[in-house]
Amino acid sequence: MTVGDLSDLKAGGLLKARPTRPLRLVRLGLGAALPWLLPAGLLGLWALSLDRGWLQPYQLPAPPTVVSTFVDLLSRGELARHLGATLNRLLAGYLLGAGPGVLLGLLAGSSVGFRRFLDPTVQGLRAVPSLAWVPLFLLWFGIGEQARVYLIGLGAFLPVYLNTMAAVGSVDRKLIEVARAYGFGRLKVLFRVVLPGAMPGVFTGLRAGLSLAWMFVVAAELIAASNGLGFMLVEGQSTMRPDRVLVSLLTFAVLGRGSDTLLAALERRLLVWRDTLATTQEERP
Amino acid sequence: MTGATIRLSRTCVSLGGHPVLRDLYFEAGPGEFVAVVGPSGVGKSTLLRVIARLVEPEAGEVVVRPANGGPQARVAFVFQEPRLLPWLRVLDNVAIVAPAGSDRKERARRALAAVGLGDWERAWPRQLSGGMAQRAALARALVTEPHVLLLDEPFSAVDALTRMRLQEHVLGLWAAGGFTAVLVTHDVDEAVYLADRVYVLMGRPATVAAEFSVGLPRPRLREDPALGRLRREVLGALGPVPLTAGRPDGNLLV
Repeated sequence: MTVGDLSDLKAGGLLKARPTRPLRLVRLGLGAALPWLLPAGLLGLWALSLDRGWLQPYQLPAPPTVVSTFVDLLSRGELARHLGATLNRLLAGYLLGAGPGVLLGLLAGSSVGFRRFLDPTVQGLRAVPSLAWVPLFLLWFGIGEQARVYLIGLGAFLPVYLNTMAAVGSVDRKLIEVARAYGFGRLKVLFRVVLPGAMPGVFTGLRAGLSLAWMFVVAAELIAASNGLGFMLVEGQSTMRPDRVLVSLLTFAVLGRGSDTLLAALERRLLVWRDTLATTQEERP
Repeated sequence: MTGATIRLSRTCVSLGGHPVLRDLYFEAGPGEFVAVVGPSGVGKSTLLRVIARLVEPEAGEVVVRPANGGPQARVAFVFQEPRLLPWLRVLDNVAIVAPAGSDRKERARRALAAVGLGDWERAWPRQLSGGMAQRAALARALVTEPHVLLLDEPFSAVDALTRMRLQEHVLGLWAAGGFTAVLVTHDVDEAVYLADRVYVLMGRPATVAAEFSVGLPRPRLREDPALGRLRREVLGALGPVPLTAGRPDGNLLV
C-alpha cells in the first residue's frame, strides 16, 4: 500500500477498505441481473442453434415464431377456448377431490375407529401409481369429461386426505384438554379446536393437491380429449407445430404458478395467527 | 359466584396402570383458598384433574357442590402455560368459553378489563408476553363465573416480578369473586402467602403427608415473620432441608 492510498483512506474517514461508489453500483447491478443471466443465455443459445442449423425449425421454432403463434392463437380465440376447457375440468376435479379429502382426512384423523375403517384402503389405493387408473377410468366412464374430471379428482384427493389426517394428529393435545376442561362438546372441539389447529397442514395438502391436479389435467388431456391445453400439446406434436406446443407449455407454467400464488395468498390471510417468521414480521397492534 | 365445597375421600387414581393417588383425603370449603405443594411428579396436577373431572378416580368419592345449592358446580382451570387458542384473538379466546347468550362478548370484555387487558382484545395470542397471556387465561377462567378455580402452577413460567403481580391479581379476583381456589405449586412461599390452608402431598402413590392452616389476616405482608416460620414448617414436611447456602447436596435454601 502506498502513502497515497493511505491518505485517500484517511480523507474518506475510513479505516477498512470499502469499494468505491461506482464499484458498488456495478455490484448492485450485477446482483439484480443475476437471476436473468441463465434465461437470457438459454434464449441466446436457442437463437444461435437455429442460426447455425444445429436444430431445425420443426424441432424448435425461433422465439419470434412462438410469440406470433401466441398472438395468433389469442386473437382467434383458440387459446381462450382450450384454456377455458382446461380450467373448467381442473376446477371441477379439484373440488371433487379436495373437498372429500379434507372431510375424510378430518374424520380419519380425529376418530380411531374411522381411521381403522378407511385408512388401510386408502393406503392400498395409494400404492397404485395414480396414472395406472387411467385405463379403468376410461372403461368405466368412457372417453368423456366424466373420466377426466374423476381422474383429476383422484389425483387431488390423496395429498389433501393424507396431509389433513396427519395435521389433525399433530394438533396440540394441551389445547384439546383446555376444551375438555371448559366442557366443549364433540362438534365444538372439532370445529373450534381440531380444524383450526390442523389448518396449516390442510393448506400444505391443498397446495400439493393442486399441483397434482395440474399434472392429472395434462395426463387426462394427453390421453383422451378434443380440447384443452393438454390437447394442444398432442395436436402440436402430431401436426409438427412445436410453436403451439411451446405456447401451451408456457400457458401451463403461468397458470400453475398463478393458481399456487392465489392459494398461498389465501393461506397467509387465513393463518395470520401463526407464530412464524412470516406472520410475525407484521406490525403489532 | 359463591364458591363450592370440594371433598375427596379415600380417592384412588391410576394413570397408565401406575397408581398415582391412594386413599387421598382433600377438602376445600366455599370461598376458601387452598394450596397443594409437593415434589414434582407426585400427583398434584392429577389431583386438580380429578376435581375438574378430566380424570376419573378408580375408587373413592369426589364431590364438588356449589354453596348456593345449584345442581352442578362450574369449574375453571388455569394451566401452567396460558394455552390460549392461537387462531382466536384475545377477546374470542375469552368469549368462546363464556356462558351462551348474546352478551358473550360483553362478558369477555369485562373479564379482560378485570385482568388489565382491556386494550388487547384485538391482539393475537402470539403478540402477548408470557405474563399477559397468563392474565388472558385468567380472564378466560373468570368469564365462566366459576364456583371453583383450579390453578396448576400458573405462575411458574414467568419472571419473579411478573409472578408477584400475577399473584396479587389472583388474590384480588378471588376476594372479589368469592370462588373456591385450589392452587398447585412447587413454591412454598407462594403457597403460604396466598392460601388459607396448605396440603403437602408426598409418596408414590401420593397421600396427604401434612396439612397446615395459615391463619393470618389479609392483606398479608410478604415479609411477615409468621409466614417465614410457616414456610419452614411446610418445607420440613417436604423432607430434610439444607440450612446453609452453597451446600453441594441441597437446592432448597432457607
